[in-house]
Amino acid sequence: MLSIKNVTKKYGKFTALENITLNFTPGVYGLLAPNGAGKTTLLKMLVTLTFPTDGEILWNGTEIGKLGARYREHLGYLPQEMGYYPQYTPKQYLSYMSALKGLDRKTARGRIPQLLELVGLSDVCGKKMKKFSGGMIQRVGIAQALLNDPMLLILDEPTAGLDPKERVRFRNILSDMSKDKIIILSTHIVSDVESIANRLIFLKDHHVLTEETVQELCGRLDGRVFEASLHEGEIEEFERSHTVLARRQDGDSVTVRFTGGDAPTDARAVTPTLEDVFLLSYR
Amino acid sequence: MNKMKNTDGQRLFEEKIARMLKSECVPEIEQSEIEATCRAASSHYVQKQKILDAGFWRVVVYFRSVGDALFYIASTFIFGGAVSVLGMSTSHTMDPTALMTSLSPVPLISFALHELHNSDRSTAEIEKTCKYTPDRICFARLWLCIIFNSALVLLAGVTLFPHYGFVVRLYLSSFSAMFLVGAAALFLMSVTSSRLPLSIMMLIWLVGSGFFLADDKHTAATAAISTWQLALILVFSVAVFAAVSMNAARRLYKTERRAA
Repeated sequence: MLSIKNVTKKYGKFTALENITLNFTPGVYGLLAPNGAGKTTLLKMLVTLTFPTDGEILWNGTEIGKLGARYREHLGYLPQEMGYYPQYTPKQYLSYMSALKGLDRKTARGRIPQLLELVGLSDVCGKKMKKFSGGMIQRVGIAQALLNDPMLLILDEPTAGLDPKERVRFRNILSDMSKDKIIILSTHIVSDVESIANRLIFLKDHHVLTEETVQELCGRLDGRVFEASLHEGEIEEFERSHTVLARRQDGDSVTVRFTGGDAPTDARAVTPTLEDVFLLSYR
Repeated sequence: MNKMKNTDGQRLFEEKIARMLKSECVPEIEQSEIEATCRAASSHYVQKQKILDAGFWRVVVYFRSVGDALFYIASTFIFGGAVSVLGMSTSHTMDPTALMTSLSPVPLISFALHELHNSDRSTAEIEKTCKYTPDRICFARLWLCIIFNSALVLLAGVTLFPHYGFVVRLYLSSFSAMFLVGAAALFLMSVTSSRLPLSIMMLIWLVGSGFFLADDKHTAATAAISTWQLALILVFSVAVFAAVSMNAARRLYKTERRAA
């Protein structure tokens, strides 16, 4: 449905992305990479804010730029930095955005209250957005991205500013609608995608490092991640021969999660998590 | 005879289809599913946006904030008021053509400044991913502003200088200034998102025309330009405006142009 073919993006001499090839079918895709790896550049190309220097992006076989408005009609986008008009209420803002998205008034009138309810802003729908917190603005952003019931939903760091409860609510929203949509979720917060993404895309050094399911990724580390209890003084020495993924203070000792090197006799194998994979990929 | 044959043929064909539908189990499709299929299919073909798209013009005209409305009212009052006061108090000493020429582009430049004031990078980023892009909306609003500005000039000319013998010259000169300055404003809008160049242009135009009006030699020189020469200047300024508009459109719709 959405294909990225040998896409390279250069800004002058700087290469932001090189030879990216990806195919998307309905489902949730997590785009995971540290800051500055090219996530936002990739997303901006998908939403026609910028175009590849080389290669092409196809929507059902047609180049997205050629489709123009016909492509954008199917698009929902939440940028990293959500722009809005402070004088508008969420209701006014969503009315405006629905008009920009080409929704007729009747459809918009039905859809706006539903979305405000969905993101938990029904009770403040008449208040000006200048009084809103960052999390509330982000929720308005999520609502605007969903206005046109998009077939392709692109979200850049969508959970930034959301509290844990809101994050769970947001994950559930995405999960519910992933059946017939392509959802691409860019984040560097592993837990955001661990439970809902069908596939994960890792970007490293401006290339696609891997594109697999969570199980496949974690499966690679099966039997290779351990936990052991160490004394404070042993840690430095231990770190020289092992890759420490996490540590936790437990009274006088420290519980270390690690991989690589010889496991101490009292170490126990643990189930690898996506965070382990992420940390190892980008260490 | 042929017509009858066709009608019979069509009837037989419809009966055949009805029989087939009865013999086969055809699932009933919900309206929402049909709509969803149409929506999905629509992304397989390329279709250009139409100029007479009601949805687009609804955004252009309807979605203006209260601040925007106040701005237009204020622009009209400032323009109308300035023309009235200056025109009535100095009508014996000041050439109405020169006066109207200097003031006619004011609403247009104010509009451009206002549009730039309202533009915000992160908001525009979301808007640009929608069906109707903000650049295109802004461009349409600029054309509406040209119409609004022209109406204002016509109205001011007719109501304030009804007995002025050179009304054709007044309009030729005023519209020339409006199109030329409009072209400059449009060009600046398309190359920079900063309000500073446009503000400087507005200042230069107002101060420059003020000095021009204060000097009788200049107004006398303007009066010496023949009507047909003024008509040529108007044709030239409209051509410049059209050329700049097309160029600005290409710049404003850079993303679509890249892909076309």
